[in-house]
Amino acid sequence: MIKYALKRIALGVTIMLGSTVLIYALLLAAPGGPEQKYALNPKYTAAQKEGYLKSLGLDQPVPVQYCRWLGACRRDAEGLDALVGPTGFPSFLPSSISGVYTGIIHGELGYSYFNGESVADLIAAAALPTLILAGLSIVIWLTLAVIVGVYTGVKSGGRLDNSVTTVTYVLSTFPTFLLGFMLMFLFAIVLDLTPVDGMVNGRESPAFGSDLYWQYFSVSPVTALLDLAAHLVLPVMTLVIVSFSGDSRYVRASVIDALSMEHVRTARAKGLARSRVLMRHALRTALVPFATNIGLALPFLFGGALITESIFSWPGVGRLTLQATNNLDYPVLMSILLIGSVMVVIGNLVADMLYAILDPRVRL
Amino acid sequence: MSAKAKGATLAAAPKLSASESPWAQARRRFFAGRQGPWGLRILGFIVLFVIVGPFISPYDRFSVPTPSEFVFLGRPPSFEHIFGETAQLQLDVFMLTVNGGRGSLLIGFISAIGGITIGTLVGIISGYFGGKLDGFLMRLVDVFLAIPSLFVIIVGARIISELGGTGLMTVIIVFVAFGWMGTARLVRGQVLALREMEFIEAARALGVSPVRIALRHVLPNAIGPVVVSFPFAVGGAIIGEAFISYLGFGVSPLSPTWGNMLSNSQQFFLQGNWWWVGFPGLFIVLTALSVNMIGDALRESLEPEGRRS
Repeated sequence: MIKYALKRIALGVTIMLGSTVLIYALLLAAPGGPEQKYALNPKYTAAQKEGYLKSLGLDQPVPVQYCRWLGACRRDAEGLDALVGPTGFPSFLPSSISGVYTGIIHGELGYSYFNGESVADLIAAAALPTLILAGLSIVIWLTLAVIVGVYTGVKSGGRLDNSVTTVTYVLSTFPTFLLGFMLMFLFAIVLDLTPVDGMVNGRESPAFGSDLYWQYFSVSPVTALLDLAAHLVLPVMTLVIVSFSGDSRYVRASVIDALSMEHVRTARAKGLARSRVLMRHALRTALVPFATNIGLALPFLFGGALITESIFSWPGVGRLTLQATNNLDYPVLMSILLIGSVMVVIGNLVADMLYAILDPRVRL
Repeated sequence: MSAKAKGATLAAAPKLSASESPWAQARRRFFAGRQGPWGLRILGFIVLFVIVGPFISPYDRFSVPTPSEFVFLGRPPSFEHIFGETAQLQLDVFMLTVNGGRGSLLIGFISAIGGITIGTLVGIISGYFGGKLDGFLMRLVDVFLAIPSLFVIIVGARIISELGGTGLMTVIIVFVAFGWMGTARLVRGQVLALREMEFIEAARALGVSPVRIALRHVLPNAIGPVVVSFPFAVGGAIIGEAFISYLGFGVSPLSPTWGNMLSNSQQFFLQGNWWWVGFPGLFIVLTALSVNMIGDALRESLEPEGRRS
């Protein structure tokens, strides 16, 4: 088990390094950049430009720039010396050992080109709304998927199964934004039951996440929570409907498969009660692959749902990404892509580990 | 499975004969079901609709309503404008939908073909030649898969459009660049299993060149799952285009697609102009549904003993 885990972790680190190269290459190909704001200024001389680029370290060859961005090289040294930190240890080691504080592996994500704010602060502010929305949706949708999937799988071929399966089939091909539109139109405009978009009622409550908001929250927590809940209804509904339908079909198929397996037949032949066979024998086999989905939900918790967040103006990571893409705000984009891929790699790792724990055959 | 699948196997069982090729069997199974033929019918209708539509529509992008007919929020479906008129410019929604369908379907099919071709090539090279090359290519696949795809797709589309790329090509390039990894993994797995089989060994013993073995003997046997994935890739690209156009990073409104129609219409939707959103939306859903039905039917007919889903 430990050997398997170490192998998977080593692979994960390799993939991470690879994706930093890919992200760097992608954004290197991109137009614009920090000194573009002077590009149309007639007084901007070539010497000034050179100085500007030098101060930002952009005069260095690309591999050096990459190495500095990553944090494996010091910014205040040239050549091979940069690989060694002021304490004499290699620069890529943690700051407390190497004495190097720059670069993404030391947690320095840089500053937004657009408004000069620290990228780490921007992402931290956007992470909480996303966590609330995505976390709630995941819990509801996984629960629903298991309940509906197991039920339709056990009763497969019945009338209810046929209609539920047809509905989930159509819903699983439905584009998220269309569904979001329709729900918004129906519930917020026609029936006027829920707010149209946003995270809090702007007339009564300060913007979510600000210091004022937390003051407001501590004064009247019930009102604030109810307000938040009302705003959560539509985005959560959209995410749950779109995501649960595919998963419930998956659970249904594996329940049907498990019910026809020999150990289940044996258990039934032994005379065990139907419910016991189902709970103890069939579902254990059927839900193992599904349990690993929890690991795969990790990137979703961070990245959230780009589309849902943008439809309902939810101030999360998805919307931050869209704003940064619009503004060509590279430090923000690079950090989001990077954290996203860290999440994907860790999520896959967790899924693999869970699988290995639940299904011992994998380790062989 | 449901009654559909049962019908398929019952119809297929009595006619099995040794002389029938696997492809002919698969074809018969495909047409014996209900899902596949109906998917093909719906998709065929949509394709015909977008090919013929522009010729029968009396309107084009530059049609101007007479001043007495001008209504800011457009007009709902009527006899003259069967899909209604848009807000602002008051363009004919039928004209936009059929022209947009051309764009969307073109993006869907070309991106799917491009992505699957590259993926198949990578998969065959990786699986057949193995060794260090295989290791490198598979790590490349891992790296591409590690970056959240939607994020990188919008960033990629934004960058290409900033560099001067416009229209359908931008979207197609991004979809091909980030749409080949699944196929590559799939094909590699197939090739790895096939490589050890006796008929490949026989071909090798006869002195057939590796390239010829890969193309003539391995590829036709590895292609089944790729065929299954093709309709899903088309559907994914069409929805993907709609999604990035909706966010404003896709195709410019000068070349209409279903996606950018949705993007332009969203602000008027909440004011009651439902037909501008509804018709392209309906066609996107129908297309996605039909290609998924075709894909599922293909999977069931090509992999009869495979997993159901």
